[in-house]
Amino acid sequence: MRVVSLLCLSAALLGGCVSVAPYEREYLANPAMNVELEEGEGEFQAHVFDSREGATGGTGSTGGGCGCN
Amino acid sequence: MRALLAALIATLAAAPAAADEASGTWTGSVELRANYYWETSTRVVAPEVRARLVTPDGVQIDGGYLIDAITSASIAAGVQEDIRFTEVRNQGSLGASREFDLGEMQLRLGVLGGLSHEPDYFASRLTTFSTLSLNQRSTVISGAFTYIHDNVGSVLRGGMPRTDDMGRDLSDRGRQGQLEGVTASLSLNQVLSPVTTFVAGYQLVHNWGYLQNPYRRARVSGGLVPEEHPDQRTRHTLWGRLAHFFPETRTAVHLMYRAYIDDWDVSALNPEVRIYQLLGDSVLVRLRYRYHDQVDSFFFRTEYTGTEDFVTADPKMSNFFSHLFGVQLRVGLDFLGRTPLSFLERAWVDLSFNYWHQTSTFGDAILAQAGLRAPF
Repeated sequence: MRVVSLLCLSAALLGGCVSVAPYEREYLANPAMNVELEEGEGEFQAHVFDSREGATGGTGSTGGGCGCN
Repeated sequence: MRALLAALIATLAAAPAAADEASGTWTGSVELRANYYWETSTRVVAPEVRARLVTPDGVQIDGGYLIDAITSASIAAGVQEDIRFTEVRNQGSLGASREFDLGEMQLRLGVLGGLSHEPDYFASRLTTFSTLSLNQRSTVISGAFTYIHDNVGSVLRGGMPRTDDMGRDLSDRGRQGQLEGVTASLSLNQVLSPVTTFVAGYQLVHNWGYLQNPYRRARVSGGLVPEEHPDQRTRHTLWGRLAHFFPETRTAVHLMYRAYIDDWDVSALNPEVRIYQLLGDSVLVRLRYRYHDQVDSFFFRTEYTGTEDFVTADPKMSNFFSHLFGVQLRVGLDFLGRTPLSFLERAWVDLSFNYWHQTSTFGDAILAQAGLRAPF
């Protein structure tokens, strides 16, 4: 619960624990704002970046295969 | 915490309604995608299919399958001369999750497994994840834990395939080592206003075992010797994304940032900007620019004396930067509504092209993708 509280506190600092009602989210549902629509292309790109850069993470990519180590 | 656990147990036992239980319908999506990667010494063609199914009682099932065909000599594979080869990798994943309504918040719990096989590498992973939604889903806290277990092998490349009387592949040099790792990640997604969202996260990766590449050879005292990397690596990543929508022009701007550091002294920064412009009701154009700048590992040298504990020929360990420029066109297929293909009227297709300028020895690259996503 402490972790949840800490994260809530972080959220509060970010946006005052803003609560935007579903009917106010017309723009957030727009394809230009919906990052879930990019998950399919993003996973392969993350795999490419992992195999060509020393850094990793931040995209949900996982390791394995492709001589990437 | 006890109250949360009690509520979770009660919720699991009661198995409350979710998703489309009211209508009793199954929903989901199917996504077909073609991925292409080109650089001077490597071509990758990777078709894939993904599917999502949501049952009437809210269980979400995700699956995917990808074939990854790598052709020609690859610097990543450590080839020292231009030996052409084609290697095929098969990757599959399957997962399930379910959201539980806990009153003023929602909790999603899930598990995802994946396997990847190619002649010289077998990778397996298992991920558990959870998502807690608060404030009418304006605040979403996500966590995940992944364990990976890989067998690293080696095969002779470039020659004709040969087998013995028993049908065994004589090019197979067998297993070279085992790589294991755990990944823990935590993220916070906050809606800041009806037009602005922010997400930030942290990821910790710890790997141990065989962390070098069995093919690469480092230059030591004028000769070539197999790579020798440390057998442990701990990696930290902080990342964030701020997205804002401008209703007047129907433009969205996404600012992204990633900072990375590990105990091999590799550190990197990745700022990225994406601009989305809606054209009409069904066309979306995306422009992107991504910059990568990294510092080399403590044991990277172009030439070794032979006294070093660790030697590498991995370009990923070097000091370099890169610029990636990309454009994507996404088109909704709603115009098919009055045709025999009306079952695709909610689908969209996307085409993207990215040019990647890298100062590492991998050189410049092209990354192109095409996709069709059809919800049902």
